[in-house]
Amino acid sequence: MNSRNNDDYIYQYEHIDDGAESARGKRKGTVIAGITALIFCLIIFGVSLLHLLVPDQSFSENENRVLSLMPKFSLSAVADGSFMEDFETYLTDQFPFRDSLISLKTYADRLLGKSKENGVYIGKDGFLFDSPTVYHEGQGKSITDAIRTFQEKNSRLNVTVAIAPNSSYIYSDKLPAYWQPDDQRDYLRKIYILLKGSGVNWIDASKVLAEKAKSSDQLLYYKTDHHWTTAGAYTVFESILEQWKMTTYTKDYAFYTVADDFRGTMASASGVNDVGDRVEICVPKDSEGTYVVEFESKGEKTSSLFFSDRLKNKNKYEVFLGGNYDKVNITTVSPSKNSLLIIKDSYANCMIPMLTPYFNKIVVIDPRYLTDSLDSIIKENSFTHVLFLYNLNTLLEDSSLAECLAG
Amino acid sequence: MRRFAEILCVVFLIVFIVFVSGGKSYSDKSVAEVAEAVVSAVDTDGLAQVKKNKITEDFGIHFDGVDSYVYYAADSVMDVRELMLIKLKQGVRPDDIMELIRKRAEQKQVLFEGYAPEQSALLESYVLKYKDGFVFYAVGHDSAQALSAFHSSL
Amino acid sequence: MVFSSAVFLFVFLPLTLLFYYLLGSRRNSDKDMAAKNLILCIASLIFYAWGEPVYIVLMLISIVFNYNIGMDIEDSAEKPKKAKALLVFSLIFNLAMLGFFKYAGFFAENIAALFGFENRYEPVALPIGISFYTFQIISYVVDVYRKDAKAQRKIIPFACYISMFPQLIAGPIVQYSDIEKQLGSRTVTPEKFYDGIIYFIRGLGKKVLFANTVGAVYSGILADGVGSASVVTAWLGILCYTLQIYFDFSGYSDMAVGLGKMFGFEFVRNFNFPYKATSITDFWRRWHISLSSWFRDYVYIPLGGNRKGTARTVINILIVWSLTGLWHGADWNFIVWGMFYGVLLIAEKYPLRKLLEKTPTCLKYIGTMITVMIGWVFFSSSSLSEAFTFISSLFAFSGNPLIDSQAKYLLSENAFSLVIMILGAVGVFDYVSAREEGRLRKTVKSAMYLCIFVLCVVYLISDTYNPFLYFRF
Repeated sequence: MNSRNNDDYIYQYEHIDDGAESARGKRKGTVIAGITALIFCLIIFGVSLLHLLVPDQSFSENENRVLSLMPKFSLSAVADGSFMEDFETYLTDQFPFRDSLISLKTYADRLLGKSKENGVYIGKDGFLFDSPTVYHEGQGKSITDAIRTFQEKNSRLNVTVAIAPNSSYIYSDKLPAYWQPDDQRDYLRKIYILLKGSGVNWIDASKVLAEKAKSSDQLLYYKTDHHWTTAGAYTVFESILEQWKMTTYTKDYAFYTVADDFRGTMASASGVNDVGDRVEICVPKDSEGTYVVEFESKGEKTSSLFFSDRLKNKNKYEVFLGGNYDKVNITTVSPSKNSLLIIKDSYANCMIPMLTPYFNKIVVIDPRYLTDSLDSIIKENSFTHVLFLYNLNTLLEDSSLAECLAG
Repeated sequence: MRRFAEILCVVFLIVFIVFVSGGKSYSDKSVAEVAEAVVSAVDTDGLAQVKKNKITEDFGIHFDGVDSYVYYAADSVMDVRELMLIKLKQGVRPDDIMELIRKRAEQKQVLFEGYAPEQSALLESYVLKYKDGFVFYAVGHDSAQALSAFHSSL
Repeated sequence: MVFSSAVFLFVFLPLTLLFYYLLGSRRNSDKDMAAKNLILCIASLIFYAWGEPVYIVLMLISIVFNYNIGMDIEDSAEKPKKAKALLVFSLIFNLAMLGFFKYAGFFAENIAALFGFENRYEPVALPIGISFYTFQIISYVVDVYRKDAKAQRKIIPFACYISMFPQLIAGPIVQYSDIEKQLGSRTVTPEKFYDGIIYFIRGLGKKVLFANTVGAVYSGILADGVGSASVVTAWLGILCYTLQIYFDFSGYSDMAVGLGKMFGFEFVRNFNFPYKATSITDFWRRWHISLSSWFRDYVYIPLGGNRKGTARTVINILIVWSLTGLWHGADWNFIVWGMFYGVLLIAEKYPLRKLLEKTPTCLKYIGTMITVMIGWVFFSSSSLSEAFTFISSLFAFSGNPLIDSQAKYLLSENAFSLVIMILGAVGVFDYVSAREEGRLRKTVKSAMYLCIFVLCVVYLISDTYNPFLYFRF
């Protein structure tokens, strides 16, 4: 192949120095080389041995999910490659020190100045934020149309809509530098304009929350969770009462701290676990034994809206109402003649106890899980008030509300 | 001898190409036969055959290309186990129907995501396969056994 | 199987090393090599079958066929016509195989579009690494035909050459004549094994720590829509891709070289700091060297190279570069990308030659890098129209703003790691560490590399972090 030189169209026959590891300085370091090789082999063999010796876990506390186990071997699973795929997941799921490795990674990332971890933004003072759901014209229209039709159909009902923004809007001074999330206030204004003239009462939750955040140092949103705190809910609760002009039965409310190591969804999602949030509950004074709660689908009755056993779980927000249910009926001893239908997502869970003194009956509906027809629920009960209580993100992601209202 | 090996390789290559690009074999077994084998491999406690138009309703599958099918679903709302076998008419490509099933499996995942860890894990590990005119779809702890029963019954 | 996976690092690699060095060791050196080759061959086939349980059959057919053809070609050395016929036979076989599995869909689509009928053809899935191993096979039969190498009379070493797992999936493309001797005898010293580990970790680090992170930034920018991105965001995006493809590809080559050394092989170097190039010609001397060498030796030279006058040379270069483009993928944007370079190389060779000689080096460097980055736009886009959208954002053709909040955030977020990566890509770290190695330096270096390895494992495992969130509550 002597002709190569003449034919060289891009190559010059230069000697390419084979990287930093040249022959220089060899021999001197053979011992070091040997030791390094040994350590490397120890790591790769050691990890596999550890893997074999440590028994497999079926559930991860840290990630709150079922872990993969050794896949069953079958020829068909090998032929279509699913065995190999499952085996890889099995290996990584059961990897020795998996949880420690994951938290090590978030430290390393933050050392490098990263402020985003698995889609969660790491703000100042331990605040974690997720990016707001993007508003689509069609989604906004379908929700507001459904609410308008609902009000027309039930014109004698007092319908109120309260939509809460997220912490990235209220605590915009805590955002990581240069990150500009979508403007939730603008989204809410769009929804407000679409609802205008329908007779529906609009609670400007973003305004009252923003004002409250400025004037008080109470935390209105959890730092590590995507929910608002009880204090945040209370702020909006007050302006709802004002809207309803319900001052007759005004009660004193007491706040109790029930946990201070709540690491919410955004802490889990990001793997950033430095600070814990305080969970408070808010109850009307002397409210014990003033209501009965019926979980229809479970066929259970309790005398409390709080589930203190859930404080042992990872998701401590479940202390409110014990989770999400399709339909919950609350009967109270309130002398009021009013009764309330709440159509809601989980943001409402911590506000419901505050509402009990004002209604003799409250029916709580989560359209995501409801299979009954809404019309028949309204027929069966003689409601005076209806409250749509949502977080903006859930509202924009969810199609079940519009479906539920349409029947 | 070598020439023979070379020619044999060419033949093998052609056979292999026909094999991978074909997949056009069509089983003449009935759905009932295959379903019997598959069902015997799984725990059917709490599973029941679902009424006729359910696959159109739930999956959006229309009957043009479908020869026959069986569909088992759980009675309880919180039980996500499912088992479905669809026999396509001869010459019908399974891609569209599989896409519909995949879509619906993802929808169902969204429904349970952030809500029920065990159900989510099951839904995420759904099995969807096509072989010899049959589409197989299963969600459940024993879907792997069901799949191997499906494979061996054809 | 990919190198940057738990299965490879903690199951496949330890087991292969164990079998290779414990079970494969024999007193007699011939037997020793035979046993080691056998183990390597089995390991490689498992490695391939892990990712392609069906297409392994294809590879086996190809091995058996070309093994026989190779011996036939050598045995017909006295009858040039017969030898040539056999060569053509094997080229048709190998190219037909590559053509069917890689290009049939592309051709069917274009033929259908050309004659205006509906394309009913459903292409089969692409077998991993087929472009690489087909080229290695062609190198073998041609080398034997040209008598640059002897035909391999034992099937195990031959199968080893075709299926060798370190370079099976992403190169470098090893020419048979370069590796013929090593298949028969090779030694591993502790020093060589150590070098292998260093190379491997270096490649793994490039892939896991650099390419993956910068790739995430790039795909984030793509997901937000390049069409409406600001000029700075668009340039940041293509810079990220430029770094990603280099670290990904050269990282893979480094890992291949390192693994090769662990088993006693020496592969050619595939990358030589391509982003230090001061001309396009220079760039292609440094980028994916084994591929351009292959095209030079097995296409360009057989076409007549540059010995048949300027016109023929220009045509030959264009042929080679459209093929180079097509080799990277069966789509028009790859062909355009290849032609783009073909034209630039011709321009540098003829009309611009004088001009370039007078241009200051720093200007040449900047010009080269911008050209290369624009080349990557075509390479990375899934269609030509997408590529043009990207280009119009780069130069604000559709009135994009110069900078926006997204760009500022991305810059503040990634500036530090980008600077590190750019320094790495132009070889600053290698320059610093290339000085005489003392005992202390070597210890520090070894410790650093071991730390990088642990860090890679941390990032690999964290990548599978998949918490179940109660977002619905």
